[in-house]
Amino acid sequence: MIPMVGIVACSGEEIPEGTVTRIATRIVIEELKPTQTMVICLPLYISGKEDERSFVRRQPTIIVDGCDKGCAEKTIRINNGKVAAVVRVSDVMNECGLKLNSKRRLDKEGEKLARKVAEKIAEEVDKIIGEMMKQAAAKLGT
Amino acid sequence: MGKKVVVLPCSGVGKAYGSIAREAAFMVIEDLKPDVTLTVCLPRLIVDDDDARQFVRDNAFIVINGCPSRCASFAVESAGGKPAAAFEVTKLLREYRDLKPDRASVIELDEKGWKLAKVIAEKVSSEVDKILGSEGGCS
Amino acid sequence: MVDVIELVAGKFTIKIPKGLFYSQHDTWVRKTSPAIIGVTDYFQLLLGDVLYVNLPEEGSEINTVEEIGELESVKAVLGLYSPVSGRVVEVNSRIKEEPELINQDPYGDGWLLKVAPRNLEVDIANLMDAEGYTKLVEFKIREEQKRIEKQKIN
Repeated sequence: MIPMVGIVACSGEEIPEGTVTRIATRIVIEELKPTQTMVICLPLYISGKEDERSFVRRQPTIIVDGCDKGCAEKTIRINNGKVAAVVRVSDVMNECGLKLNSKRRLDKEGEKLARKVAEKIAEEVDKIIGEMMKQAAAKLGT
Repeated sequence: MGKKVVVLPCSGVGKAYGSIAREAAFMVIEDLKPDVTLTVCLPRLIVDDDDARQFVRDNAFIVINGCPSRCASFAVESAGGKPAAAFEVTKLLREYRDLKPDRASVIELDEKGWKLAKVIAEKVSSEVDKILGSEGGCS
Repeated sequence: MVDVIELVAGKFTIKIPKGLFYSQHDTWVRKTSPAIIGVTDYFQLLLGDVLYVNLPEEGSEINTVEEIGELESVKAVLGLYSPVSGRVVEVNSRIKEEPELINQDPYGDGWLLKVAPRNLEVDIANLMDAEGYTKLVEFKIREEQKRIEKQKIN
């Protein structure tokens, strides 16, 4: 099966949540949903790389933002990308009561948070693919 | 507050080069030059428009690009600036072939990846000194 | 008429120009005099950013059954197999300093060698046209997907 869902991490440098978005995204791409997802490199997308741009126009994309500024989401929406879901690290932190310390390397708690965020992204992948399958089945039925 | 230099890595998430650039930037702003450098979220330079343009106008930038796509340079240029210095991980890897990572992981650099990040961080630090020196120190 | 076949694989669009001849090792030859050879878009995507290039020297004899050089990225080292046999008359001198040309323009500025072929027609008879090579790439992508799925199960 060709990967169907794109994942865009904000990778923000100023806050530790940015590091979490990167690691969570890689956990999904490499471990949880390797055949159904594709990493979209936000800096490449910003600089106009056609591979990234056309995929996000064509396929549903999950945004992983670190904070309320929502930079990744804004960037994709400005360029008319298909935003299928948004996962915010700050929201997951509030839900799970986890904290972050250094922005550079994640400690045990940070790693736990990255795993939680990855699981949340994977749930969204399942929902989106389920919906795509339903739509495809409905099309075949008509 | 004294004059600071902004160190901006591309932080690409598709290849290990982005992680090397990111770690090199953190080494500079946290270990080597903590008082005179800072970083900024790359996407903010694109979505913050007016604030970002002002920030880019007011500060000297050193960019660390992961690959020849030069995304960090592009972000600064998009916000109306021009990097004072630019590094590229792939170019440096040609120069430091013995530091080519054995494991191309984006999540966790291997020993060679860390060494290369350190080499880049030291080069960036030298540029920081040059920039601050040529501006007559802290203003 | 479409001059380039475009094959979408995930976020990548693999370009396969018509008019070239392709080997199973993901190299191409342009039937000119001398013949020009290079790697395909699929090859460069598989390898990633090329860091180091090891190519045969001018004047050396190459053939289709032996590895003639290597391209190396941070991910892998891939061997190069020429689609034609003959004598190397020119090596792309820009490639050593700018190996990224192979990624950016594999069928243009990223060409690798010019070769005076020994028997071009015989070699070409053993190669694929763009349509045939497209089928091969589709097959390779499917196999790669299966490999990833299998790896996940294990």
